[in-house]
Amino acid sequence: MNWKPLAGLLAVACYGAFLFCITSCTKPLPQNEEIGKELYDIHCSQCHDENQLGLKNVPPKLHGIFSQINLPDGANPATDQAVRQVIIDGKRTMPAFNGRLSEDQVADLIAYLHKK
Amino acid sequence: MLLYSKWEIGIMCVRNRYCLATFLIGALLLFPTGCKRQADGSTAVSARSSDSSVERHHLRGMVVSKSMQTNELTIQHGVIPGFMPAMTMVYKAKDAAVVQEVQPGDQITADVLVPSSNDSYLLSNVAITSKARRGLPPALLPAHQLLVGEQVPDLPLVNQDGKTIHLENYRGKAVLITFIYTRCPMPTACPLITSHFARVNERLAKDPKAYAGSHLISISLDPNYDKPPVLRQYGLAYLDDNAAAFSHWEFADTTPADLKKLAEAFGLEYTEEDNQITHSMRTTLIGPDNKVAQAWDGSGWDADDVVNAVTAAAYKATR
Repeated sequence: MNWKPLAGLLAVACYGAFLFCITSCTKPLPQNEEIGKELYDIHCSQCHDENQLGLKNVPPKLHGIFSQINLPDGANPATDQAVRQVIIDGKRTMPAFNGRLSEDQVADLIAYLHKK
Repeated sequence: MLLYSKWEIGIMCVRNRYCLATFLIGALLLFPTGCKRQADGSTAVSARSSDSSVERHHLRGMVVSKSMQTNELTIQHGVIPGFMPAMTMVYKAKDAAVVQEVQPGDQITADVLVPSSNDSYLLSNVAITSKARRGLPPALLPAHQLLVGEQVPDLPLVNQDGKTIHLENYRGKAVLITFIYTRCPMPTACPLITSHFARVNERLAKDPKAYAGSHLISISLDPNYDKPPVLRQYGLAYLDDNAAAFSHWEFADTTPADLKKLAEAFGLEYTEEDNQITHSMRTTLIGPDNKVAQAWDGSGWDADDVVNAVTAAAYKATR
């Protein structure tokens, strides 16, 4: 029996499996967190990251916001629902994003904030 | 009375070079220097410019308003071929006397001088062609941005407590007025403007006379969302929850129709699309006489400069 063609076929199959593993075994960022990051960069970072704007009430940093018991205002628990409410309705000097972000976008933003 | 005409004297003087020189100088001094009446019967208001190096166009229109403080005229004019479509626009008058002479409603012709720098266009050779509608009341004049010295319109507003107020209510005080909306997402726009106002308010509070003689009003560009309860919460956030301070700084909205008139008067441009309002920024100081005193564009102005201007006006308050 001529083993050479069979060996060649096996080599191709192994190489194919290797390529498949490379592309699917390493975990990419969940799409919602990636979108959330983009939304954060566009809508939130100018106020909530370090800035020289001189705004009346300095917006709180959002790093690790869900690792605390309460939100930065100290009055509300750090839950998805509470954060969602602040994004939709605004809070004090923070503008409301009511009508500007969809529910899916708010969910993506919250997913990103969980990782921030 | 001359015994000879100047021309007879001229002929005799040709034979004498000293006399000729004297005659020529004298003739030049006696010759009229400008036309008092234009060929079309209109009255020239300024001397003809001899500067032929400046780009020059010609307009025909109506004086809508004027400011003797800034030497500006608002003109509603027709198409200037090859230069500008028909519009209402502010021009600087080259000759201050022009601003003195013309009145709202006057029909004029003029030259538009376009400087090579980015300075304002200048109006020159202004001629009044008709005074028939001279001194039109403001209500009959085209909507326009108020110039310094113009009376502000009396349109009703509703403040954060649901109470109707009028700018006329504050006659006698210096009033600082601006336009914002609570959902504005641009930190360098409304949040910064309102932060500036908070600083202005705090600094005025340190001078009892300036505080008593002044008033601040933030008017919403988003009346459909910024109802009184929303404005109240927004205002309290910038007033450190001191509701008593609303007596000095109010947050108000008005109907979309009246908002359009106010925005036009105070030089605000805005459009709404997809729940977002794109807008210019302009803060105006109204003097105790209820006339425009000064304005600041954008959000980059210094709070101290504005405090100084408001204080100076407030010290002239009559109530």
